[in-house]
Amino acid sequence: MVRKNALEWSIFAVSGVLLLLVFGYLGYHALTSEDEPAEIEIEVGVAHPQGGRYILPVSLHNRGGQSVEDVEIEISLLQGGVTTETAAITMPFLPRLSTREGSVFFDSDPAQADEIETLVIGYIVP
Amino acid sequence: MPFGCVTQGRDDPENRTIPLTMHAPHPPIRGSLQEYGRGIAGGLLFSLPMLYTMEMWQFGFILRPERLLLYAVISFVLLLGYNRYAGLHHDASWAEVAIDSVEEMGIGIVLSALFLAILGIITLDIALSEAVGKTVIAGMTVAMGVSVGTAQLGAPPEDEDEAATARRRERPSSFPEQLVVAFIAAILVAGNIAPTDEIAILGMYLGTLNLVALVLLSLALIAMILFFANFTGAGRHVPENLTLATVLGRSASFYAVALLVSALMLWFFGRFEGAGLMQCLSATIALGLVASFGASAGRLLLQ
Repeated sequence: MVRKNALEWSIFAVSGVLLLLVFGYLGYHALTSEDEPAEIEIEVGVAHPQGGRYILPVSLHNRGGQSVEDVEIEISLLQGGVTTETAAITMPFLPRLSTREGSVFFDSDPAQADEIETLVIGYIVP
Repeated sequence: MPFGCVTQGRDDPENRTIPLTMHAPHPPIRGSLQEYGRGIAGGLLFSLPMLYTMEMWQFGFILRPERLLLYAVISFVLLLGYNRYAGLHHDASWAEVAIDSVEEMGIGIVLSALFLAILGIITLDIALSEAVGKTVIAGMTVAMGVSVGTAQLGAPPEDEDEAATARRRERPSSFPEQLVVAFIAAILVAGNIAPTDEIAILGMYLGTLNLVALVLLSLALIAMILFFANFTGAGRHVPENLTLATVLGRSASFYAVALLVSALMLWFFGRFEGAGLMQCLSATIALGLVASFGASAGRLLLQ
């Protein structure tokens, strides 16, 4: 015979619902998400001057089902088809279905460039 | 978690603590709050090092959802085992044990999420899957700590005299009970170390002599704690006529539990993927020393 007071029953009820939600969520994800490789997309923001140089915010999106480490990316400014300046950053972690943000610096104004080229150099699978 | 005991027939010492019957009143709210307080303290005592470890946060998004689910299921089974064999209420039915385990897991998940949010590891900006992963990874250890804290950190009930306390503490335990508790204790103690990069690095650099020394030291520590140091609660597991064979045999079995727990945890955290046999063995032995403490000293304190 289980005997509990109202407080204990409420905590049990809340815990039970919470466990069902967590187990259900993990189970649903385990069944639906395939083990597809990381799919990295680089999104470039709007540059603004800072300390005589230009800072350009970049967002890294991982649309794939695999979390990755040490994502190295390169951003280049192109003028008339020729690369004039290149900057690079390394993102320590980029979890699956997540976004991480950073910034790169340039000497010239990225807004004046003909084209901004983004490139994923590589990453490590943990 | 708490369902309370009632005192009946004060004159008969055998009847002092028996499970509640149909006629008993509900346990008081104050007593329940105290038990939850002890549970929270125990949960944090065992898991704060883990909540503050970077690798632990990373595993929250590195591990696949099916592995996290497996982790949660195994933790729940271990909780059931601990609550059945060593929990607050030794004479609890499986229904009560299950209810206690659900509550402890719920408290563990809430505490884990709360601390990770306060530490800024879980924010509104991260993906839901990442937040759930981080919470579950740490929450399972918190849940086990909650169970241990509720059962072990409390003062004996006011209506229990010293003789009854001693009887409760000296209650002999069967081998499966000892095994389950040793398993959980090893996880609780070694769990804070298992996910760290240090263990993987030790696995790379340990030489044969270091490994032999680690094995011997682990065995010696287990033997000392179980048989020679007069450790709390050790007496009831030591047979009357202690032979060298018994000492060696039992120490070896608990070391085996420690190694098994270590290997399972390292496998779970993906430390065996692509690793050679020697790397796996070295890392297991390095973690095994820590798990040995759990399987010996930790077990005696938890039971």
